[in-house]
Amino acid sequence: MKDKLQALRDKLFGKGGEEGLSSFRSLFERFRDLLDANNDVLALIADMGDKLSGDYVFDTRYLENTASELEVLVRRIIDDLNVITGDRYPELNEAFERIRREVRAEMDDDCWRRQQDLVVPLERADLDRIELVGGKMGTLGEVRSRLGLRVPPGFVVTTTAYRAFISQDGVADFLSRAFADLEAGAGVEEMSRRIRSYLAGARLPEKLDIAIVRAASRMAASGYRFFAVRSSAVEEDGCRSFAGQYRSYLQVPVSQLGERYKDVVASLFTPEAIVYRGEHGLAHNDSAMAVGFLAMVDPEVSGVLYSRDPEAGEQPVMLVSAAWGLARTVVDGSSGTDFYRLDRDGDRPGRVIERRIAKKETEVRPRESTGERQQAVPEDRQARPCLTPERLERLSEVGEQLEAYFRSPQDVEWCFDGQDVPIILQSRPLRVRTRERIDPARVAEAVRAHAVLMEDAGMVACRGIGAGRVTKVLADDDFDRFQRGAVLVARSSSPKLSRLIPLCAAIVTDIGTPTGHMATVAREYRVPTLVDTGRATEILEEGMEVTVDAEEQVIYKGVVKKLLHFQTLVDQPFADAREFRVLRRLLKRISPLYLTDPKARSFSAENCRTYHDITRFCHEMAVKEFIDFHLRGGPWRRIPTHRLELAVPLGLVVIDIGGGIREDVGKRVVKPEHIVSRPLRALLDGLCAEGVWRTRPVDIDFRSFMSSFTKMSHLDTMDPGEAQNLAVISRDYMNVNLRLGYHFNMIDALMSDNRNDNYVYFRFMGGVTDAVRRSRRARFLAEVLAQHDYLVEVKGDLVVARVRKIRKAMMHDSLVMVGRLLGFARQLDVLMKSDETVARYVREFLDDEASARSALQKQGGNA
Amino acid sequence: MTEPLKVLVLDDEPIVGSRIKPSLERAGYEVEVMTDSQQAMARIRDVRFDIVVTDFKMSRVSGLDLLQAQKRLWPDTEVIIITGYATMETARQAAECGVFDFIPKPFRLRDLKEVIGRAAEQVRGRKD
Repeated sequence: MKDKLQALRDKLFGKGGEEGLSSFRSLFERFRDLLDANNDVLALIADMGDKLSGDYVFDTRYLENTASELEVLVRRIIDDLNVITGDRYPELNEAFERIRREVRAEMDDDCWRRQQDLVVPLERADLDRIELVGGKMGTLGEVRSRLGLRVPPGFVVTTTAYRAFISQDGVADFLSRAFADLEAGAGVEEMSRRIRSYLAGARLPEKLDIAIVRAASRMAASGYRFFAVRSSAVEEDGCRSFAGQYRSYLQVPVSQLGERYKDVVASLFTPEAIVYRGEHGLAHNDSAMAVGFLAMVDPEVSGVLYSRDPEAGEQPVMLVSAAWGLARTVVDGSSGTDFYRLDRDGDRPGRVIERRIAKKETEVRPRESTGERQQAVPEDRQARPCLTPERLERLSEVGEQLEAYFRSPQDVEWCFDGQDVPIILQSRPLRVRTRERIDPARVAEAVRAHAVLMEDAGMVACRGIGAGRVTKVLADDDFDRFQRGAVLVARSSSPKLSRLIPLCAAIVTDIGTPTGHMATVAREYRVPTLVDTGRATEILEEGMEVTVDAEEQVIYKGVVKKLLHFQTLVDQPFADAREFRVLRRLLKRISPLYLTDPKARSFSAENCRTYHDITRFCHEMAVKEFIDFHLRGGPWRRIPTHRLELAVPLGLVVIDIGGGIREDVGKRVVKPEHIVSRPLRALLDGLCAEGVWRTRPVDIDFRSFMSSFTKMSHLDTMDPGEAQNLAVISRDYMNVNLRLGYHFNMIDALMSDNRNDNYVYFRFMGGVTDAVRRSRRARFLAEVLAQHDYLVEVKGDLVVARVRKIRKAMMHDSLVMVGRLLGFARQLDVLMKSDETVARYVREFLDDEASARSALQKQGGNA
Repeated sequence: MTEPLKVLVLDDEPIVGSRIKPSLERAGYEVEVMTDSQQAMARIRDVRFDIVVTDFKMSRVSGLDLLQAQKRLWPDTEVIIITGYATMETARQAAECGVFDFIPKPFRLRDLKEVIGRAAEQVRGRKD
């Protein structure tokens, strides 16, 4: 193996050589290693995202192994950069250590015990951090941020705050004695009373008191004077059997928030809770309480929605109970309650099948000062239904959405203020029984009764089952006619479809990848998605009812109810599994790119927040180092560094490590005709060929060249004078690194007389430009390269293409083509306005190329 | 309708069994999930499973031990090993003990089902 590597090196750089050159070579090896490791990191990140599709079975070991692999790779990248630069970036080691600790902590079940946040805004609460914000608030946060439904504004006082409260001097001692007494068999009623009164009288830690008041005051400044203070316990046994039993308070003024907080926390120790834990072998120490503070709503009407009939889960109905004012009367039955049974099927979901309108003599409303009061309902409203058909329809939509997202029947607390859009106060799993047993084995039978439209269809981007009417979205005006609950069918998995995703029952595309941007969004909204099915747009007819089974990769004609019931009533929602939550948390620490602008002051080692940031930073600095190589003293002084003068503004710095530039050229600036490196010469032939820059030959400057790749106008501040790209060459070899705005293009090629050694490796990585263009461009590149016999992989915004073991003449043609491709691609941002244009420009590129080739042949023939 | 085949899924990480079970049930298998390999050793003595899917590296009894025991008790049962650490040596040992197939972790559910489908054909072929 070693010998082979050495042989390759010799081939690339020639044998022996002077001291400076050999040192350079070893540095360049490190550079290539850095590029490889960088690539591996991005591929691993893409794979991790793919695992969220639910199509894979993975376990904790996978998470640990992947984290370890990433550590090794990122470490290697940092070492490479520090070797290349002579240890110029020691801060990277600290950044790495910090991130590594954070990543490791996310895998630790106790990570939330080390969280610092006392208060989290509701919009940032999610179930990935259920240990921090509790089930109720985590759910409500997702209802708002993912489903876009109305929830009251608010904030969550976390379990970290709870721990700070109960671990204070005195409190901790008191509790541990109390728990010991309970263990020893002390009376539950008595102990419960003592603990609750102790906690109600204890002082809040000053930090916590301030945090609550500050968060509440900020809301008060926007006019929210009263709060609902709601328990959000962390499920102690993984199910929510008890979590609903804790206390909540309504209409609490800012001045009383601290007191009510303590009361809610103390409700962890009601006699019922103590007994429950005892019966289930749970330690009192392990329970924790987050508390939600939501802006108080003074509702016209409130109630409860069951997305299924708890006694007959398979029936297509929803149940709604409603009363004037606050929901208390609905829950405790202290006054009359309207009851509705709604149809879930048919063309008009939400249609009333049955209704019982009660006489509602009293209602509960928030008191002006604090708390609630019961009051008489004016006579004319007593017998009036408290929900209009419009509002019932809205409620049934919300029920469908919540059930589809959480993939289980839901028990929803809601209310209406003046508007016809319901406000969601709580959503939790509803236990249902089914009248007929849903036997999974029978599902297969039921399925057989339906015609199969597509089988073995594509790849799963998000696992699940969804049914609805086919709506094809092929042109821009299709977007507006898309209706909630439809099955979206599209040519490609364009990120542009993202805004429709929350409305979809399922998604099917002809082309696309499970690692693309759209797939990520589909997973976020948990919409069953099949990509790369080939011919869905041809086979599925507009308006046709279909069931998309993104588990077995089958599409059935009609709605297969048994399958949908299976998913909602039997199957466990995988996305809520601990491993999936951990993976999502890991990705948040690993994958986002915060260092986006190399010219910004914040583009520094200290500011790296994720592994992706570190790799991005190292890549940038390594390239820069080689570009500035001639500035370094010592033995490297003699490495010839040249600026290549080109008709096109590429800003290319060329380092010749052996026979790549004509020997009689000694100057800093060289022209294309001085290049004798075979691969670079071929690339330049393509790039500089007449016509490649045809469309805008006069006003082309580097800036517009770049923006054709990026178009991120506010970030796209690169100055043409500063454009610097790098080519390291020898007679048979080139490694070209282009940073074009926020995208990276690397072409590494060996072109010798021995076809077995020959290869072209092409890599294109997107940076921060908008995802729509990124994916179109990636698809364009991938299709063109595939047409030229490249083996192409697209992972997210990374395009990797390889071709190897081809004859020298073919290598030449291949590299000329790549050169043309670079030239052609500059037009893309302006022109690729829709997905359809991708195919058109692929054709245009191929046609241009063919005519250029035939012109060349003709020329050859004439000569 | 033919009697459904009995499948045992054994892995000490609960998520593995809980993901596999509904997927196999949908395909018409009768599935039992276990996470404790020692208990599984006892269970296979009492129940004749047609197919066993087991993790390789487990805390008490290894997948290889289970494979051997299973084959001794019920030679017709097909055993599929799922593992994150397949070496040539383990593969060779398992092959000698009559393993039906190896599946590296992580795997796609459909890939597992495909292998189980092939094992099921074998089992049914012998039953007929």
